[in-house]
Amino acid sequence: MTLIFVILHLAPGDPTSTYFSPRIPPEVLEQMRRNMGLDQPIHVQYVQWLRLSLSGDFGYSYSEFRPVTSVLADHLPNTLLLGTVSLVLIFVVGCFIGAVQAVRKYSKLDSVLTFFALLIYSVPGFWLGLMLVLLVSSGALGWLNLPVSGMLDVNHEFMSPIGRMADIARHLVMPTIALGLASAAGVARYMRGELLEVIGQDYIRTARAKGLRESSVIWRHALRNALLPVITLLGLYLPLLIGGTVVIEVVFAWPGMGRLLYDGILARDYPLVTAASFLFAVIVLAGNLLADLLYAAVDPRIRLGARE
Amino acid sequence: MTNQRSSNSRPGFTTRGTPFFLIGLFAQLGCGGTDAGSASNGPPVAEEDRYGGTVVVSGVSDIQTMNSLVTTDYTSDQHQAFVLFAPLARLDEEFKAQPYLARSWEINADTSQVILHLREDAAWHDGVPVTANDVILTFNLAKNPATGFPNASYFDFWDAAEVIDSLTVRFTIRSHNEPFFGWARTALVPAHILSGTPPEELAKHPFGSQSPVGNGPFRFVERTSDAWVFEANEDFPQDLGGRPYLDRLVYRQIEDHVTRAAELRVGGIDLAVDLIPPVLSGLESSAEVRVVDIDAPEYDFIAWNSKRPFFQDPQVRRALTMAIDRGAMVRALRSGHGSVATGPLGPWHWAYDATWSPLPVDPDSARALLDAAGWKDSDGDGIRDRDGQPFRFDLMIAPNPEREDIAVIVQAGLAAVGIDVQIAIREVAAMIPAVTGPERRYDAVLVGNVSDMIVDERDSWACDQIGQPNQFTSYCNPSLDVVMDSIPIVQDREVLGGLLRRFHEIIAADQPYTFLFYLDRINGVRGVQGVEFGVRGDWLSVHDWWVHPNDRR
Amino acid sequence: MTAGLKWYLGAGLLLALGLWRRGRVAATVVGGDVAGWVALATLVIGIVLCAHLGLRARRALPAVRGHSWWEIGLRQFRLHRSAVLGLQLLLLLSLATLLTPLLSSFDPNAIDPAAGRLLTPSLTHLMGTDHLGRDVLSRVLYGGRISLSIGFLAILISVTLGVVVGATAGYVGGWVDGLLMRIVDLFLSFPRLILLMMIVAVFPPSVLLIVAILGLTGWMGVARLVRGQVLSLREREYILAARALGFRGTRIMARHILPNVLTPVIVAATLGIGNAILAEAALSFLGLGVAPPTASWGNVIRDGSRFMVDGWWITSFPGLAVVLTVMSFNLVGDGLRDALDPRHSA
Repeated sequence: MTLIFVILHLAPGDPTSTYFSPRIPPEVLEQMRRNMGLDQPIHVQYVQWLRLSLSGDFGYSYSEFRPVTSVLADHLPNTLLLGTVSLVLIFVVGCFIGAVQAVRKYSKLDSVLTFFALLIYSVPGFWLGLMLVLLVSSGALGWLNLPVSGMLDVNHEFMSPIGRMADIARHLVMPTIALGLASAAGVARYMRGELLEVIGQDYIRTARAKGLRESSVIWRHALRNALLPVITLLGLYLPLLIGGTVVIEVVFAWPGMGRLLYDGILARDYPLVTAASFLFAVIVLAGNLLADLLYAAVDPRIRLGARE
Repeated sequence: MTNQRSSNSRPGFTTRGTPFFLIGLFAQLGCGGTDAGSASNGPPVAEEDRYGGTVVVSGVSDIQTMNSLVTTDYTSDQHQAFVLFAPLARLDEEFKAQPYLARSWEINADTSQVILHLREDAAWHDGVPVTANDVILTFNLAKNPATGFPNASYFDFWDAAEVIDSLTVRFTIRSHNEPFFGWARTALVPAHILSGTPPEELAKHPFGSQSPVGNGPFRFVERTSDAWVFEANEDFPQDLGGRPYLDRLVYRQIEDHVTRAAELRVGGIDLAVDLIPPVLSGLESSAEVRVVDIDAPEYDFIAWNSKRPFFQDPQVRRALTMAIDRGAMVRALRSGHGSVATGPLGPWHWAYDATWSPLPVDPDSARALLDAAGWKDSDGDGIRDRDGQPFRFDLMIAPNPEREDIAVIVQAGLAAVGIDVQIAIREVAAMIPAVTGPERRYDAVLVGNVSDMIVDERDSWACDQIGQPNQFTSYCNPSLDVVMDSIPIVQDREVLGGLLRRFHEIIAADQPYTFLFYLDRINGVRGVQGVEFGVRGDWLSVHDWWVHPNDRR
Repeated sequence: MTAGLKWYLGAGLLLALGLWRRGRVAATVVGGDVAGWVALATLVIGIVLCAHLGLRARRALPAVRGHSWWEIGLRQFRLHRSAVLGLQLLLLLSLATLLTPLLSSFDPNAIDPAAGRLLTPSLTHLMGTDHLGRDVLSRVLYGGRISLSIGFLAILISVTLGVVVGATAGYVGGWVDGLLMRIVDLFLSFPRLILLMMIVAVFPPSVLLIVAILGLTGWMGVARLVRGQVLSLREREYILAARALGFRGTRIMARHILPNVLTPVIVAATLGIGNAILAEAALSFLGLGVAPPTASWGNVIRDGSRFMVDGWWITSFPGLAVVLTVMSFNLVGDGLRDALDPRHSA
């Protein structure tokens, strides 16, 4: 966080730079700076900021004209929603496709899926998003009647609870696909490899030899063991996903933290950017911790704390 | 996708190109306001059936705050002037201020005093009447340097205010033209909410963006992470039209131009402001969407830092302009939505002279002028030089695709006459200090300017302003100073028009800037009736917007 | 005709083509920029590798026994059809970017906003022209040089840094390991794109800066990988033996450990180039990438994305180039991993 603070304050310009107008006299700009507390030397600002943020006060956002905490409270849940749904998509779809491929290994289906997984894995997310928007605007996806921006319909508040959920779900479709598809393809590739390896193991041969049905062998024995290493991917994909939210949220006008951060950086809204990046780091760390815990919970061989 | 926050189309420089234009004749049509959406045929809708419905508007930037004393961006400004608030004055079609929330005013013979009368039926949305206290508080805060009111110059000639009774205020002013312009642009703030707040803390008061209380045709409902929601104010004074037709008005920010156009096309939004030309062909094929061009008071230009040896000579600057194909920019980048600029005044301004024509695109004359100024390619490397210094400089621009394209055209044009231009992209917040700082760490900068009906550009051009942040070209012409000194105080439009034209012609002759092109603002409307756009703003007629009962969402 | 011969023939053809249009080749390669050199290096490495693979494969096929692990790996790779396809695509690509001045008769920055804008693909302009009348094919080719160079150079930095940090952490262990790994965690926990945005906001964007920051933010994966390998190798008998013989740490590292770490590093590097290219594209898309008029894939896509309705070709071709390139790198990376990792031998 300190690093972010320093980088941002090193950057030329300050929040008043966005008020670039020959109509605003320099002394007024100076006063605006003073009112924002920017006239203090940087170390004073730093100490002040540190003291406040330790007490949970992230300061005031100059670009949103309200306390940073209130801005974050508005946007964080939206990003978490988008992120979580994308994660679920990534793992459910990814694992499923990977498993199908492994079971039908070297079949036509496998080759086709492998190819597509690779193709999609190589497509930049923003590009995919753009293409989706274009498909919608060209009318090609008109029958789906999907919104391409935002999170809530204008009439959201007049809807029934179920209608509201459906409304949010409809808005989620596009950004989730753009955000998660590439990673899902990555998971599929990984899953296929892991499952193939597991299937090659002795205990699977044993299970087969015992005469268990093939489906039971795959779903009960193999899949479970193959899922283990996939969980570690969670920690890997989380930062990628969070980084991706910036571009995707901007493209789809999703009211989340990524877009907030992008606007904040451009507006040199120091308190907002520092707090938002801090939250991102916390989310990633929490995700990693969760992955570790999950892993430990599922795999008896892992004992937390014991090294080597 | 290039969305810079600094896209404000409020007077000032823009670092993001949001241009627009029309060529010649069409410009005149687009200007006077266009009733968009009258396309729907069928039986006329009775007056009483027009009430109801919701309109969703979307633009590039978000509304920042409803506190008029700390705002500088266009979208916030528009909502303050037309939606949530009703300012004391309003500009008519000739851009003269007329009473609006004020019932009337009287100016005494030597224009040293103004008596302002408020209407009795005006009230804040929480029920408290609008009184002289509100006017006094707004005025005092605007004049108080501690507020840091960005538009303080509106009230430069207004000295003091005193209450006469609860609906009457007396101001002491000095004579100047368009005195009420500031009151048309600055909404009142409620004294019963803000009177205890120290001026330094005004920006942080929740009134601005969390719980604004207005006095205009729409009241504030909520601000979600996604949108600002307003609803009709049933108690809006009958003289001012009573309650607006719409039940609800929503504003959403969608930064991405392609996405915004797509939403308009599929009906997710009803009105999109500030579209870019490349997305239009997708919209024009739609039967429901109408695309409207407005002559915007906006132009793009290159400022030459005349502290650099290259740019001191007006003849060299003329040569630079003539080497740049500005018509190509209008055609290729604006798809014709604009016109080549001749100088600081544009076709939007009443004083504009339609016979003015821009400097021609003429590389040969440009070469001759450069030769005459001593810039010749003496070492045969293809680049002109003088006294051993090659004609090579950085052109600074903000990261914006359209500006980048403009810079590429500039680069190509100047390369053809033997000048080497390097394009330097700087983020807005980094660019501005480089340009306005006392060291003037730039050679040339490509930005836009949003002009105003009141032309007072002393800060940018006057000789005694050299060294000040906004006089960044360090250009000086004493005969221009004389003209600019008289502009603010002349009342008669005839005389004023002459002065303004003189101002325009001197600058056009000296070319301290290369004026590139005037922009058209492009808005898209889907099913909303009674919409009138113009130089005064996109929300100008919001009170009278209505949606056909069959088209309501 | 053997596969190897095919590649040698290809090289000969190239040489002939080069001799035929000598002047332009000289201009590209000798007077060339960094991008030209990188393309040349890739090409040489690629051709040698392919020819080598082809010849080796022929000899190695009959017997496995008695061949070194590398040789078996090469054979496996050769059998991996998609990986070879990827390699061939990459070769084609580096060839194309190297020979850009021969292939395209248009200046990528020459504009023609009057008559030549938004022309649909034709025989003259195979990929059409953009909104300023620039030839899209030329821009894609020249952009490829920049994008590929950025990818390669960035990954060079990443890998070097990652190997040094990872090997140090793994071999030295103790608090050094702890500290280095905490730093890795720190960098990993922070989304790369966001860090990039902040840095680019501070410094004026340039190709070198983008290379540097992509390189400096991409090394953590390699570091972790190397550390893990080193940790497990450190306890192997032959290392213990070397240690017992009194060899110095640096020698053990250089002679016995690093060669064994190479495999996963090569795989990671191959996959990493793809990511670096994607990151450059995303940065350029946000307007924080390579400055105009220089073409890179990212900024050609960005230019075209506004004109998608009027000219689908502007943005589709560079997009396709990115996808194909990244896919090729991934194919090769996968192939290498499958081939060189004994666990994956089919």
